[in-house]
Amino acid sequence: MTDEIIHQSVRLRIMAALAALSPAQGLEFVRLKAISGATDGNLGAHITTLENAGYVHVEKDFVDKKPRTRVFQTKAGRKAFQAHVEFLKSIVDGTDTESTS
Amino acid sequence: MTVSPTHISKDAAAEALAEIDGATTHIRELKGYETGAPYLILWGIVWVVGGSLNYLFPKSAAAIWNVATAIGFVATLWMILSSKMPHTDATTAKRRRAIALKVIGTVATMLAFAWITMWLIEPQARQYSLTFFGLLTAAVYVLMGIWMGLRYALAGIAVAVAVIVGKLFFADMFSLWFAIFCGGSLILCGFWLRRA
Repeated sequence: MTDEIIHQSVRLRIMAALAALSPAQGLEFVRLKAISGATDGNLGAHITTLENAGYVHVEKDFVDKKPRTRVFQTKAGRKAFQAHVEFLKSIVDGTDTESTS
Repeated sequence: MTVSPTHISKDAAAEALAEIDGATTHIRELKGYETGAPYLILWGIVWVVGGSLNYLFPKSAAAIWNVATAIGFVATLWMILSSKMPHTDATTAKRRRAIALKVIGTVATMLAFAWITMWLIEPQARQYSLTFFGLLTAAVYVLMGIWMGLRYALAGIAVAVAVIVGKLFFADMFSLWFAIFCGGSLILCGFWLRRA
């Protein structure tokens, strides 16, 4: 089964980037913007979607008096992403029984 | 959470996996830049100080570079051991020791290579040594760029260009040129990597 929240292109890139880090490491909004290629507003909406699904959590603080927004992948998000990757691989390998090729 | 049995074609799945690969590579590249940047800045400073002192006290060049390299080596180790690592406390100390040992091995190999090469080649002037090690460092960064991200390669090319121009057109004051432009290139590239 596909996870439609993760499968959307921008969210897929966000989740892939976060999954490449350790759980304690977050990514700053500006970095996610560069990786996803999304605009500020668009990226914010996608992060909210992932946050509502429990896949990421957002931390806001100040560094040198400048606001900083960091996004972290949750345990559930990591698990869901891995499951989605496995699902995609099974389609490519032809071992998936639910999707068409 | 929306999990549903949506049909995805083989091509779409392959495309999604490629997108994941792209994002993973991109983030690893950025993290690599973030990790490497302070070391470029450190060795840039070593070159600036070493080259400047070499220019001021040419007769003590060998001693100056030996001390400068040793300081750079110790500072590199200190930075590794004091850096934040994204792992649990139990594994951090072990990982740091392993990395520190690898750094000691790498730098010891490079120093042995440097001393043996200089001993066998016996360069007639200090500027030949600086040219050689400047270009060797540049080549190392270009190779790192091939494996770890374009910005390292561009840093290597910047250093190589600085060495070549200095050797061809400013040979009389090459150690000062080396300090300002080769060391300066490393420092600037370090800041550039940090901003990636």
